[in-house]
Amino acid sequence: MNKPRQTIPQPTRRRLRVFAFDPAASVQLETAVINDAVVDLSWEAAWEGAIELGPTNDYLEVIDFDPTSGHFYAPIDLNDPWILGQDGLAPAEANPQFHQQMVFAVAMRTIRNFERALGRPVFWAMPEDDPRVLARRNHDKKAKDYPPFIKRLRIYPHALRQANAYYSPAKGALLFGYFKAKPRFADDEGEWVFTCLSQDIIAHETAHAILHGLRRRSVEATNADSLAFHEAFADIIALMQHFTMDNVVRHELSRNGGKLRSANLLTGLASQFGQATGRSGPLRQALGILSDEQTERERKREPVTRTLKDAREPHDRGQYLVIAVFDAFVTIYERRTRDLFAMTGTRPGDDRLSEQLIARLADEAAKVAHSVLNMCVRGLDYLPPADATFGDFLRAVITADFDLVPEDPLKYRVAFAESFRKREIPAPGCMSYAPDSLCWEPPDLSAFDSIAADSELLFADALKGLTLYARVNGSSPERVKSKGVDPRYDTQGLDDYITGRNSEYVSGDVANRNLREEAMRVVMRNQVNLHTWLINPDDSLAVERLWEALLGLRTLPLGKPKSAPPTGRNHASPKSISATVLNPAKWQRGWPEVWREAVEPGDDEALLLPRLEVHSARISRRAGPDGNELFQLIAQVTQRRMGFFDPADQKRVDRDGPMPREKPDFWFRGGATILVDLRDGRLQRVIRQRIDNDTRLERQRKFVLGDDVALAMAAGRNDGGGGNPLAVSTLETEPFAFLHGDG
Amino acid sequence: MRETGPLVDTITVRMYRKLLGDCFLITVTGRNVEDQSPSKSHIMIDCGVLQGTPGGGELMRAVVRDVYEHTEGKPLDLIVVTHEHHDHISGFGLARDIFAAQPKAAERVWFAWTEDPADADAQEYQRVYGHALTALAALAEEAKVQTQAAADPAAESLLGLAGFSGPLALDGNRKPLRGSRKIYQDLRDWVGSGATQYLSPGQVLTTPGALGLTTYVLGPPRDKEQLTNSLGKAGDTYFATAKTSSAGVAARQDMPFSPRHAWRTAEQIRNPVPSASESAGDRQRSDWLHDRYFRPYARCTEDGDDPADHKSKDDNHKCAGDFSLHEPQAYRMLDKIERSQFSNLALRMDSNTNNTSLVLAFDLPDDAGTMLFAADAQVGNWESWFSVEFRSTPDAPALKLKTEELLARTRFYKVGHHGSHNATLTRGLEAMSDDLVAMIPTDAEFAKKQSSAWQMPNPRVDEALQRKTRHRVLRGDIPAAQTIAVVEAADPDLARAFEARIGDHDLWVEYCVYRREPGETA
Repeated sequence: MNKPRQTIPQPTRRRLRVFAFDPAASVQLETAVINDAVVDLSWEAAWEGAIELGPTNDYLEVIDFDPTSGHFYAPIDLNDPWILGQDGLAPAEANPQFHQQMVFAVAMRTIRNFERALGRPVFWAMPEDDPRVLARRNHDKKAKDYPPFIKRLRIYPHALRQANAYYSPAKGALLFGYFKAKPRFADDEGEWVFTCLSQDIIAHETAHAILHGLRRRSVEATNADSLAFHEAFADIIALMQHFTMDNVVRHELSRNGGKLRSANLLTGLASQFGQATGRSGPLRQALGILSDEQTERERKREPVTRTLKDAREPHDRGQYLVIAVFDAFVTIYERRTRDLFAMTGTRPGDDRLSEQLIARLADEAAKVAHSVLNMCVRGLDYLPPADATFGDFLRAVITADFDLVPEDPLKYRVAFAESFRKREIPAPGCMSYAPDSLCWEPPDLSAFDSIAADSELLFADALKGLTLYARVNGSSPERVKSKGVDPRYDTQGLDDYITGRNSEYVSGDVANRNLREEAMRVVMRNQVNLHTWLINPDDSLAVERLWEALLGLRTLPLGKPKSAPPTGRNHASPKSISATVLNPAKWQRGWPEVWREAVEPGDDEALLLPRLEVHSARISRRAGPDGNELFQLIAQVTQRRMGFFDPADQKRVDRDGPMPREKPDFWFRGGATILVDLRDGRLQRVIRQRIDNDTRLERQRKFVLGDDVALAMAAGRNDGGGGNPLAVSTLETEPFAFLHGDG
Repeated sequence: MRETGPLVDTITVRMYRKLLGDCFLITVTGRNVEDQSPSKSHIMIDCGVLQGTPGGGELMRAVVRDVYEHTEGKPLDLIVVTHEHHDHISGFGLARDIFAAQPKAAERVWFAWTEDPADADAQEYQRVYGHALTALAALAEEAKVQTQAAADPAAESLLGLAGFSGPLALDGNRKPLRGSRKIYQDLRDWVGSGATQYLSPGQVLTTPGALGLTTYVLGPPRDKEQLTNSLGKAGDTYFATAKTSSAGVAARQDMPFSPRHAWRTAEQIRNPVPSASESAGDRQRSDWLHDRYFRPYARCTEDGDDPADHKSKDDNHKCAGDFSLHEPQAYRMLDKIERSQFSNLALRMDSNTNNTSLVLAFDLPDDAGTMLFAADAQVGNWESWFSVEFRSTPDAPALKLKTEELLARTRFYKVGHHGSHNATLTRGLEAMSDDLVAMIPTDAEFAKKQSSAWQMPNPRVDEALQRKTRHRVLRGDIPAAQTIAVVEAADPDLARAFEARIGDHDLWVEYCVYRREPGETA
């Protein structure tokens, strides 16, 4: 079906019909006319796997097993000529094959939107329950029998019989529930409601999975914003995607005089989103607040602006992020459409706008929605690798946009900053909400000037080991050799996957090559090589110290430094940081002397070499609106440190290191996001989240102690589930099941 | 001053030790003003220990024996049952014979309004709660979670809820076995008809016995929304999944789609049996699924380093296998019951029940302050106190007294829910008197063994209590001498006065909250 043919060119698009909202909208006259929509996906490229039953492609596998009834529903074949001939099955609640089609189509559309913004393929996070992850935790040799990532996200459209749908980090899957609604009147049987038929729910859950794939530690509750951010971000994606549905937006705009800021439109949206499940997530509440405020305004009364400080519980915080982004979206839309109204001699809110004007306005709305979506998604790469807050997100969005689009004539960035300020979302460390003070500081390389010939090229050495392009001929890449044998260097078993030797991810001949698999191999190899480069210390202690300061990472042995560091900042590094113990008595040739020079006493005591993890090392090519392109290496490097509820324990372990088998009360993470401009090898940004920041540790301790979810998650990590599959500690691996289950 | 009637001389609160559970005995001593004849009253508040506590049965029996030794075999004047959790009521069952052997266990029992069979709201709450419990027990049974106490304390304690709520099981009619029902019935029988009272917030009454204390009821809130909101939704949702009756089983297997969509069972895909009636397309599809998700996977036995060794294309050779499928990925298949469903409901019900806690403030004589017993009230319950209006009878006009005043007069605080993080409202604690003494019934080490999330007390709450009470926090798991030493280090004078009011024993620690000064006799 999918093989290129000699005479007929390959189709370029695959169109699949879906509900614009959900089935409920089809029985209301108001929305029925616009509820049929089409998702227009690009036809799978020659280097991608063909779409198979399920549907299954390189990104997703829809498995329609319904555990409650014990049945498989027959998988749809999207390549069936009858299905191809009619843009997929027509929307039909009663047909499980349509459910498979819709959930696949909307999830794929979300994936493509992310990929366009990120400039690279989307990958999925390794599930926490994966045998390889567990084997690694248990130091089991079998770990290498499993590949270190999952290729496809699973989607179970009928996974649960309950009013819930969630992304399961434990299974690497989206689980959609269905249930019988409450009878509305006597003798009513109650209708079945399927969460997998709700456009916004599918987009929301897919966004969770993508976000987790991009930022592995984002599913941990380390501050009041962390899980709220996950929720709100997924909602922003769902909301912005809504405004790219031409048909629907035209309808909405024509009914509201071309205005997005209209109580009527906002109320309508609020009731549509999550209507199926009655879930009142941040999105619905955000729209509720916005429409309340707008109602006031339309009654010529000045509304009270609700802000982040009105959020009493962590899960209330997300809505303010959604509001802020939506505000920015509307402001930009208004700015961009002012001329259209002026040219046609109309004003927003006028009753009878011409069809042509509505079409142009809907176009603009879609364009702005795409821009806002892109800005938000790109911002993800500019977040610190762990423990990010809403304020960090604002700074990340502004900086990422600044790097890609240096000029900002339409003042998108001002619109963002302004709406965040209005909702009083704090941006600590910034002088003001002016976009240039919100930008992350560029790295200060002046200290290196006296040492390096060209401090601008500090990263050139690291780049040598990285693969920047897919190798099309399938040749085996080389790995950077470590200077000595570093005891932290534990990549045994990875090689097989990197070289593709022992896995399915083997490059075949050109006709059958799969570049997604190749891309995964490249990522793994880059991660390993960057890790090697980062842990190899410089020959000079002074230079290595500079590196530590520049990247905000700890690479030298922990403890009290033997000599005063060149910069004032490096005091003793806490021994609570996860480290590999090195016995100086077993000193091996080739081990760097700087390790011994770094700390006192150093000669007889064990050396603690801090570990670091390269969570991702991705090459991204993104195009700006003016045709400018950004070609970047984006690496997230993390370290972890033992956190204790009792400050006295913390002090002891910071000073002496943990006692044998001592477990922390919680894990504290830090690290750096490193961005390198690959056009000239210049270090562009370093976004540090230092692991030795005690103030942040204290903040996390306070937060964890006062938050149910965070506390249970921290405990879950320790209790390890106790072998009981139903332990409460499932919070650790299924945080979203709880957040979403909140009715 | 009064010239006739009873006069209270001392009020002492005894907290039983070494248990993660609540059992308090209030002793009021005094005399009759006219003839100076001494009299005493005894109030027991809760009697329980966490399910699965090793030796818990023996301990509770020792506690109850001690209680009746203390009353000299006389009935307690009052038993207060705050809420349905195991760690507050299990003692009534574990030491049932001792209670039953008393000529009369108590003169009266107080429950929260949620237990009142004549109260429609209470019945509605009980119905919703019963549903949720049924669903939970059914889920547990289906997933074969061992929740019976004796079988596996480790596994069961992880269930958190079971630890507090008692064993989860269904009876022959697939109704949940609620251990509490039996206990409540026993209590009603022991005190005899007419001696059971159900209290609602705002009520003002006097404790029974020779020496009565004025009592203000603060919680649980009457707001139905507040009590059943999360539970109602959860209960209804889970009810649909749970195998609660044989009809329910059929309903469960019922599909939302028409029968023609019931294509293959998991078993039919796993072990396909060729059938002549099967269409080629169906055959191809089920083979495809079988091949992808159920094909057994054999580990590679060739571990040679030479890549050539791994080139064989034998189906079961790991070098040829598709690693994203088959057995290594089997953990990604759906379980019968998603574990999250269970723990989600369990967590909800646990905190919901805590919020049904009966919360009482007892007045000390001569405006000397109040004693606050917060049971396991969580935030929602605490917040509701501030809108309570007090009335001496249902029809009487509301008293001027406000909850804020009651709190400001609080000199003794029984810390909520073993000191855990959401059972002491900061605003509430800050409002209490600056001359405050607190008691935490806990066993921190044992709690931590259940789960490291069980911080009892939570360090943050503990810090706030230490500050507010100037370190006068008596704990079930710390010898009183140790507490006194801490107070001493900060304020020797305070420590001396504090020590003079403390009684310490292997089985309990007690604190004299009120003592009439000699000159104050009426």
